[in-house]
This record gives sequence, C-alpha cells and structure tokens, in this order.
Amino acid sequence: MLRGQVEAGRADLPGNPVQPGQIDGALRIDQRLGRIQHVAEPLGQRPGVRRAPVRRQSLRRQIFQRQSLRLAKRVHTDRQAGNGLASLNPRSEAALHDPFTLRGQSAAMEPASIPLFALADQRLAWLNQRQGLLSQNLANIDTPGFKPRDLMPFAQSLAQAEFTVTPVLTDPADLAGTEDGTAGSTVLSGEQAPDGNAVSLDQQLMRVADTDTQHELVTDLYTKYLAMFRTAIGR
Amino acid sequence: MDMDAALAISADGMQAQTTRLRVIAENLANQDTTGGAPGAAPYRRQTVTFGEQMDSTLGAETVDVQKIGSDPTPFPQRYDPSNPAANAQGYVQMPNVNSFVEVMDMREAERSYQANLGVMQTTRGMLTRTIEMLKTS
Repeated sequence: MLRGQVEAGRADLPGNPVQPGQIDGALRIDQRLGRIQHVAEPLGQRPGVRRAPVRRQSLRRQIFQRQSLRLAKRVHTDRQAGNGLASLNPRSEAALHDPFTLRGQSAAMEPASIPLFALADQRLAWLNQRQGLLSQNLANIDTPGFKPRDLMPFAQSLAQAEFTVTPVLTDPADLAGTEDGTAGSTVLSGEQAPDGNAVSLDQQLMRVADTDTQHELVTDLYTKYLAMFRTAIGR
Repeated sequence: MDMDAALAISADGMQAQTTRLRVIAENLANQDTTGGAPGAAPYRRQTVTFGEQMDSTLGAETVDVQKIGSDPTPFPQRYDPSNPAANAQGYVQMPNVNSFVEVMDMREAERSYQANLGVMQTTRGMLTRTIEMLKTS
C-alpha cells in the first residue's frame, strides 16, 4: 500500500479531514494474502487507543517515504531489466510495507523453497529409492552369490546432498565409468548361505517395515504442515 | 529407481518363485515315474537356478530363472521283478525325487513369494499415501 493510497482512503471518511503526513494504522490478518498486514485506520476511531505523539508519527512518515523510494527504485530497475512492472503486483508491493514478512520469504512461496517441505521432498526421494533397493534384495532371495544392499543412512546422504544412483558394472566387458558405482549404497554384511547368497528374509522385511513407517511419518508431517498453512490463510 | 521399479522387481521375484513352484509340482507328480523299457532311465528330478538380471529399462537388477537343470544324484534302485522297467537282476531304477526335500522347497518358495508380495503391498501403500497428499484436507 502506498502512502498516497492511505491518505486517499482516509479522505473518504466523514469527519476525518486529511492531515498529510499523519499515518496511523493497525495490524490485520489479510485472509486473501494469508499474512499479517499493516492496514491504515482513521485516527481516533478506536476509543481505547491514544493518538500517537507527533514525533513518532513523523518517524513513521520517514519510514514510509524511504520505503516508497525503495519501491520506486525497484520499479526502475525492473524496467531497465525489461521485466515490465513486476514489482508493482500487490504482493511484492505489500511485502515492501510489511514489517512482519521475512526477507526472501514473500518472493517465492513455492512449497519446495520452504525448508521443511524441501526436507520432506528429499526424505521421500530417499525412501522411494530405498524401497526399490529392498525389493531388489528380496526378489533375489534365492539367487546364488547375491549380496543385499541398502542405502546409506538418510542423515549421511543428506550431508552429501546428492542421491544419484550411478551405473554399476555387470559384465567384465563393460567399460568402467568415471564415478564410483557403490557411492550411494552399501553392501550389507551378514550370514551367508552355502551358495553365497547373503539375503536374510527377516532382516530385509524389517527394513521394509521401517521404510513404510518412515514414509507414513513424512507424508503425515507434510499434510499437517500444509494444513497449518491452510489454517493461516483461513481456508 | 522409483516406486514403479520396486513394483516391477517384486513382480519379477514372484514370477521366479512361481516357476520354482511349477518345477516342484512336476517333481512331486513324477516321483514314481519309472522308465517304460527294461533298464530305461526313470524321471530325473529338475532343479531351478535363479540369477540376477540387469533390466535396462528399469535400471535395476531383477531376478530371473536362469536355468532349469537336472539333479545329477544317482537313481535309487528297488527290487521289483514284475515291473516292466526291471533289469535282468529284477531291479528297477526309481526317480531321484525325495518328497520331503520337495515339500521343504515348496515351503521356502511360499515364504519367498510372501516376502515379495509384502514388499509389493508396502510399495503400493506408499504410493497411495503419496497420492493422498495431493488431496485437500
């Protein structure tokens, strides 16, 4: 909201002559935008609220002027960059005047840019991959010489921040890649059958159950967090 | 690798165990099949060997029946002169099928099949839950 709009809005109210530079307001939850906004209110309408002293009002005025200048600069930069009037959409404009919005958060509200959603995203990817690996282990429960594999723990792979599965040599004639093929997963050690198979049915099923529980937890948390956002925007 | 791959791998595992069960059924059905002529060889027990197989479309290793071989253990002999397959001394060569071994093998195949089915159900549950995240609460 621009200063001019605030004053223009006040001009319409009967019995409240416009006093340029005097800006008062209240914090209100804007349901459409889903966050707290500074909304101008006519002076003296709320009986319990005293009028702010003049010095403070002039300070607010300075702040508003500074913010308007920032907005104008941004529009100018956008025009130079050929973005048209991207800065003038109500969201970004409101963000400039809204002291309760964290910097950088208002610009991109996609779920993936919110840390918890991004983490859930990675966790789900990890769980999907693990499920694939475990199903491979269990399918090969009677294959001679088969060694079961599992992904490295999530915390560890999160530290590496990459879960790409690299190709593995299956034949001596295959050409070696440049990357270590066993980077993403580790071979599980354990008891081995006479034919060299090391898959333990109960151990693998336990891991499958563990993956299932974790998956349920992540999806539940994701849904709950999303519901929190819905509550905030009043839907 | 994703959920589809997990489902496909489990399905391959179940397929392999089904082939194994089929071979066990053949062995058990033929546990008394002797040869037709004197001195002819009876039914020889069949064995299943599994092998891992790289599925290039899935990008994962699935399982496959690599070979249905035959059990090289010698045939037991039974004295039965009236049998048309009896040799000059009156002995008949019997199939090298041991029904206890077959039944145990069948149990194992059943357990492995169940394990693959369990993974498939779990994977399906995960898929359903992921889809349900899209639904508005």
